[in-house]
Amino acid sequence: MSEAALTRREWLLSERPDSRLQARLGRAYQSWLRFSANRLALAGLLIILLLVFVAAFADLLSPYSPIVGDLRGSRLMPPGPGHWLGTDDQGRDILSRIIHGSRITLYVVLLVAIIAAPIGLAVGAVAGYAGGLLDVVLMRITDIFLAFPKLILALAFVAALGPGIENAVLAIAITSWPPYARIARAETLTVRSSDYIAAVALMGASPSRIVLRHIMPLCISSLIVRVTLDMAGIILTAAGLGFLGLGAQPPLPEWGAMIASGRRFILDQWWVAAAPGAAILIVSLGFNLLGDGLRDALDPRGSER
Amino acid sequence: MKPLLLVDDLWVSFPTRTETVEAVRGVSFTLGRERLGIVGESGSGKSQTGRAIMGLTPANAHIRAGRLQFDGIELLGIPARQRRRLRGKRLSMILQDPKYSLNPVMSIGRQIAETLRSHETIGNAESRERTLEMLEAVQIRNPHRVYDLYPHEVSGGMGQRAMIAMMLVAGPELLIADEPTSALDVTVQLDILRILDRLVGERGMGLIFISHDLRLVASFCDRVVVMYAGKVVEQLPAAALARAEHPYTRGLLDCMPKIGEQRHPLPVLERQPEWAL
Amino acid sequence: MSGTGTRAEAGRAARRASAIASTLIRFAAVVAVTYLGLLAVTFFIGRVIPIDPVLAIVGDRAPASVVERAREELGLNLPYHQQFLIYVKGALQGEFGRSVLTTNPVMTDIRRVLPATIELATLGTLIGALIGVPLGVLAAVRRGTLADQIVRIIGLIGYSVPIFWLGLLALLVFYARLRWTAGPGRIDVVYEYTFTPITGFYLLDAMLLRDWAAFRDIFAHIVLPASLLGYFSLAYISRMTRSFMLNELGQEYIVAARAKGLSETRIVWAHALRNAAVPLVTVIALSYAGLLEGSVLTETVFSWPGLGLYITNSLQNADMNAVLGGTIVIGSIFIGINLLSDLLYRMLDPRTRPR
Repeated sequence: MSEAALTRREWLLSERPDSRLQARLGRAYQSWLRFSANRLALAGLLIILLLVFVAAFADLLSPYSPIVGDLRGSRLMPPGPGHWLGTDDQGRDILSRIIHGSRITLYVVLLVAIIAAPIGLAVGAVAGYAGGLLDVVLMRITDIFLAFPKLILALAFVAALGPGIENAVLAIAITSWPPYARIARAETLTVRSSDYIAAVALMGASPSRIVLRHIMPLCISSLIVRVTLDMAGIILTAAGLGFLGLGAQPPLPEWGAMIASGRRFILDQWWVAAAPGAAILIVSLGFNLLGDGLRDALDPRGSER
Repeated sequence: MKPLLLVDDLWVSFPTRTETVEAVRGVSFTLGRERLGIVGESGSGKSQTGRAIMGLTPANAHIRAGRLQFDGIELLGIPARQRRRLRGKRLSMILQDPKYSLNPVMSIGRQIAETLRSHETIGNAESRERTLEMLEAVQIRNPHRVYDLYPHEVSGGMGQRAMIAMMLVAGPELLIADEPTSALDVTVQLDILRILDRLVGERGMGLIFISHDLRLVASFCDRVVVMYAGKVVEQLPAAALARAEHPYTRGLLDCMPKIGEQRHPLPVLERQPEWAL
Repeated sequence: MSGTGTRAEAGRAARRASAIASTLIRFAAVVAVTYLGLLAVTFFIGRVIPIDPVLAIVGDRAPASVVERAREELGLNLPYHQQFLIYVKGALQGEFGRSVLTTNPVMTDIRRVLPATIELATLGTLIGALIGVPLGVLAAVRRGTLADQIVRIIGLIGYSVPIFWLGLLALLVFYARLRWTAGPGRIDVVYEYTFTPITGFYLLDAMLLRDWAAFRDIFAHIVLPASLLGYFSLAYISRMTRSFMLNELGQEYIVAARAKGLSETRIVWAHALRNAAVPLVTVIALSYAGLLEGSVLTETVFSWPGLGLYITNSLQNADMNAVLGGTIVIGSIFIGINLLSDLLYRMLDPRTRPR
């Protein structure tokens, strides 16, 4: 048993891989070794896995309905058996609402990443590969967006589009692509003049094919790190919009909106606002720890930057 | 007469997560007021030997030695504070590349004066004057102008002169020069060596000249220590280099091209594992 | 000999002047383009996105003639590029229209509320930098030790915590329970009529008026939100300081400084930190900008009558002129801060100075 494990390890760490698959798996394994040596990063991964688990099985895990509460018998009850995190002003179980709120958080984070990262990747890769005037124009636009106050701009967008979770996602995505464009451009510039890109071009590949198939994939890993590190910021912005009443609308159990509704009772029933805030803190801490760990593992050189 | 520097069985090791890397393994030599060259390839431990004498080894490294004495002072036995007072004042060191070894945001003059001010209580005017004198001593023609320049504003040769000035201004007795010319243009290398040669001679200092260039060391130094894999493999007078016995030294000598000699194929240094034992 | 010297000096001076001039021109161009971009985006938000701004004003039951008149009055019958030109011209004169909520010109409102925000953000950044930089230096010097870990955790929590939530908890603990600080607002009602602000920066005003009772009250009000913002920027500043310092401490000039026999204190603070200060300026400027925009959330929690609260109140009342005016003002301050940090960067780093 241990011998088999040893040989598998040796196979993965082999300096002369026989196949492309082996090389790739070996590299992934080495990254994993670096990543898993970092206890805080593992804790972050655990938090995120827990978030995904809770979101997936929210219906099974939550003891009560997140939307309908018992207005008569259990308004603003303190934490205790029955309601582990207490109840809110409408008699709803706070734990159940937080459990269901994890879905909204995950939804927002994933959607923003899916919208913003490809935009940034495309802008950066095209600007970096094309160079010249196109590069100047695209990067000028990126810089303009970078110089903007993100949160305020997102606010203005939502104000114009109307409150709601989709519009909040859109507003956050619109304001968060520029850093990805910068990263993608920097990565593109480092590979653009490399020999194998020249070889692909010699073989007759079109510029769009080079950018799509050969340059963009190379930017992915540093982009993943950056997106993971940004996730916490996205969660905080979304929660901020929710807190201001511009994100998810009631009765959706969005964590920021829950804090806003608990604000009125902060002096006497502090748990109504405290619990969802703690949830936000834990999840964004998880993303930060994970992002830090990924950066150290995938890019050992730049780990101190 | 007691030697200026006595190194006896010096070990420097760096613990990493998986193993301990022994950079210097039992190096011994003595030095009077003379020029000693330490030669070796990169990773041979020659630089770490120099840094260990200076007390500049990174904090995570382990140093031990039978004896490591400078002018009778046991360097490993004195408190860090006292060790620091020796640095710059009585023993100092010239680094390889002035592009990186000078502080980019401090003017050259202030960097040189800083050495003086950290070892002596002197006023502004006097430290400035002595700095200018020192700049002149390293053959900088316009010391007043150079005083206020920043490192990026001067050439590599000028930067290395400033480095020498910075390290010699407090009048040390022992100078360690760690590849002082390797980063410079060939044309200015000789200038720097000449300045170094003259100052070391005039001031009667001891010099440890660390280099990978055997020929340069042989022409510049009185004695040569050859290092390989953290150990001294051979120690001999520079004049007697032709009679070197160790195969590594011989290999290094054989690699030097001679004018007017046809050599095909070029000799390659065949490393033997037993050298590293 | 001296003649050639002065001629060389003169040539150098001329080169230097032209280098400075070209730098300034480039700066001006960047600022202008960025500002235009900002206006384009707010124009887009205000004029293009809403289904119809006219209907928003006159209501959807108004007769067609009224709608048409309103459209002409607002200049909305013009093509977009002409509308944009008018918009830019107005914005350059600080003309953002009237606020529906207060009926004042938006710029008048903003001028009234802005000092409160600036005062809070400045104090916050000051706290963040004065504590964050030493913490970051400590973490870098003691790398891998317990102190390093603690600084790291403090920073990570600051990165991850929703600031409005922390503000609520802080109010609960330090104001409601412990009674250490004053509650929401800038100043107690008692002083509302006796205290007449001069500059709008209340701490400064109280000092100028030598009204120490009011000063104490103002301080008790500002200390909580300012500390909170301070923590927020401390997290960022300490983390960046640590990484810049680690980078500098690994450089060869640090080895040279040690070889000169300098003390550790001098090496860390006069050599390494002086070099790290160059990129740190940008970080501190960025964190200042971050606090300005974070004011939207903090001011809501602390009922702080600043620009952030003004914007959120306007948002809740669909007062788009006020929202966009506030956005443009904060955006302009951002541009100004970026410019300032760029200039400061050049001053601190001799390598970027024109020779």
